[in-house]
Amino acid sequence: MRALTLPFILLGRGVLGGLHHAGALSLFALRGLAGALRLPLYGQIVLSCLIEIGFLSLPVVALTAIFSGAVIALQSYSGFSHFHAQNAVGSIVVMSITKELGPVLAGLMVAGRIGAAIAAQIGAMRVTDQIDALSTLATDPIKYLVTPRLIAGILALPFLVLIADILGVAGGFIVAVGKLGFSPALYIHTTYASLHSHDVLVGLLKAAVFGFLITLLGCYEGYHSRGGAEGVGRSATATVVASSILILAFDYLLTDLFFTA
Amino acid sequence: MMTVSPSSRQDMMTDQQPRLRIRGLKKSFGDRTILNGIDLDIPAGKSTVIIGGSGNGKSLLLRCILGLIEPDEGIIEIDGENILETSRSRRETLLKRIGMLFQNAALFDSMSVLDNILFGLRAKGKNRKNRAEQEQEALHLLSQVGLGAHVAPLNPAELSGGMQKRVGLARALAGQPDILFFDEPTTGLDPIMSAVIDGLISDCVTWLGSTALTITHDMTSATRIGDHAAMLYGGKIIWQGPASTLMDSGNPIVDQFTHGRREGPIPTSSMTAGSPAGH
Repeated sequence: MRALTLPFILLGRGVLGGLHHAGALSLFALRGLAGALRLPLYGQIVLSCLIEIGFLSLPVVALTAIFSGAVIALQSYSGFSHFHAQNAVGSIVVMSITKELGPVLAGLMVAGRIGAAIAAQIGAMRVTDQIDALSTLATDPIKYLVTPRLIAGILALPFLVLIADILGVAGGFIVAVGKLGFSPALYIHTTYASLHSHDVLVGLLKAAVFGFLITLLGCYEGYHSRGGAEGVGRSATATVVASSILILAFDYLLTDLFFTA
Repeated sequence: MMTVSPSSRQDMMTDQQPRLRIRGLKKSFGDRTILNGIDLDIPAGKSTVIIGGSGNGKSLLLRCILGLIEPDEGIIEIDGENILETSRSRRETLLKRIGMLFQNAALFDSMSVLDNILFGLRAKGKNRKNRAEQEQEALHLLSQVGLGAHVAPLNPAELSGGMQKRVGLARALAGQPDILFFDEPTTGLDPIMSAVIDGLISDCVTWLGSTALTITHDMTSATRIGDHAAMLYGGKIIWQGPASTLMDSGNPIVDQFTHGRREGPIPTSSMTAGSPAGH
């Protein structure tokens, strides 16, 4: 009998645990966002987080975008040449970069670089009592640590994705013109013809959502770190894994939401 | 020398309104009860020391008082105001009256020593002064804990454990709090540095006229800095009295603990189980 009910027990525990986690994360997010409505605003911390998340992530995001654009150009050329549709390469590059690859790859790169760093920073503060010290100094740790990072994540990711869009298209252009023999004018023309503001804006909206998710998960996991250095390491890993999965899941949800045939 | 009965504790209370009054404080983690009805009065302007073995909930008690952990039941009053029933903003106001030195100093490692102390000053509402005046006050606090201005630009990681404790003490003293908490202030320090920290704590409490509550299992430190002492064991305060009688309390549990005897009513196995998450 026990063997028969065990899968249901485990499933029930898993579902309840997941719901508990989702509820706790949602309340944490609300507290973090509500912090932006109360003074002080800690503008200097927001600025330093913007530099950390946005400016310092630029090299890794830029390189990823350039190579992604270049690979798409090559792969789409080899596929489309069977149908004599090589001229569509520029369109494919710009659409895939602005709609999907720009926000998703930038999100994944930032999740690896910043999500883990935020979890480690806040986790180290937790296990060394620095967060408790903030509380005893009459400072709300959520407002001081979480709110500035959420704001910076929401603002920085669209900026990074905009740069990634430009550099991704440039990567495709370099390969198409330099290696595949496309006319620069024709390539730019087909790119421009397929560039729609709606696609770019949806991509930027996705980026803002991804920025929120990455910083939220980093803060949440770090804030709830337990068990010394090992616990901090676990928080960093959990942040990267969870934010990567959520980025892909929310990418689908947002694509579905703004899907136009 | 004395085991406090409810009636004698009542007598102590009537002398003066206690700065801090705790009644029936309970806290459990799962099926493990760590605090099981703490009754304690901390008299105003005096230094009280709480002793007890590792894992008996001393730090947990402190965290409950500071509002860092929500107790399951009980009353914690500061000057007659139950802080467990106050709003968050009111609690933040009350926290401005409190200075806290953590066991590991808990300095903000992303800030310099000076900025750590400035943070304390600003958090305690001293931000009306200009930056130069605040820095002057921070350097004055540093000098009061025996550190020169040369440590001000250093990062906490560049300091020894004793120096970190001193900086932590300076930050705790920022804003001249009228209640001071010290969580195992001498743990991990050599005997000379322990004496230095004890001396600083005593001086600061005297200088500010503050009420101090120290958690420790260092008997030398307890007798050096305490006016009153209490022992936490089995989730309750089992003894309290003048700190000068700590080593000769007449209570077998206290005596075993203070003299560090293996034999006695305290089973040695109970000294190893810590409260969850190091509380």
